[in-house]
Amino acid sequence: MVKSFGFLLKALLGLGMAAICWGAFLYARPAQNFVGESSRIVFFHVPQAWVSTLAFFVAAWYSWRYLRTRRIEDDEAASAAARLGFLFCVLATVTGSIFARVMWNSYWNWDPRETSIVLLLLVYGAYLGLRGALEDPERRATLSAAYALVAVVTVPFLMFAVPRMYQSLHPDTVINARGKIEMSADIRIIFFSSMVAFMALSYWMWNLDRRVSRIVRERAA
Amino acid sequence: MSGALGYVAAVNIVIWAGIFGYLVYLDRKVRAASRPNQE
Repeated sequence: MVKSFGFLLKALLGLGMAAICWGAFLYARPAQNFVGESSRIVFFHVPQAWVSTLAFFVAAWYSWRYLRTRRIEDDEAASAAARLGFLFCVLATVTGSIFARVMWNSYWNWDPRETSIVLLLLVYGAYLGLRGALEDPERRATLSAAYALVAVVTVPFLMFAVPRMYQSLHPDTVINARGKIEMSADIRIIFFSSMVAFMALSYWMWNLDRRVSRIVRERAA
Repeated sequence: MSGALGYVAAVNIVIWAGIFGYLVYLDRKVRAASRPNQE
């Protein structure tokens, strides 16, 4: 029963993401005030950035759990989430850079949003470096859990505060300064479907990573 | 323009099919590898 439910969810994700790829380019109309078709990147760039933010919070949550319980499974979950967050952060940076090229004729402008995402990549790159540098599993888990709890403090600041504090070339956030979501119905349906699909995809990847870690640990024991 | 967008959409769908197929493959391998340990 559980197996067939999982199969159904994966099939839904597979078909849903394909439908989103189709809808993003052939159903939704391009938004106003953007060069050409560049606004269509919102269907991929924003969900990637959002999943990355979520993953960093999940990493912090499991790091906190590890420091309380000392269960190695929590450390594995935190590590998997941080890796996933880093991956999606890189993807958000690349897609943002492509958008910048179309809109402002330059891949990189050191805009506050671009600078803050680079800082975030450095913060979590250091987390991955720290894990790679320590061989003793307990010491690695403890130190990286403590680091993840400090690192997550920078996430709301770099992702949400900095871009709103300074003048930026970056388009309005999804919930704009007036607290409203100003999207046409066709864009809205593809955008929120994409958010759900990317969250489902990242959960699947995170779950796979945790299962692989468990197998490796059990075989090493 | 819709021809070019159709091409980009098709490329995206092919890339997604590749990622999805690889994840399904990994999922099956992980399930098979963890089966003896669950008994």
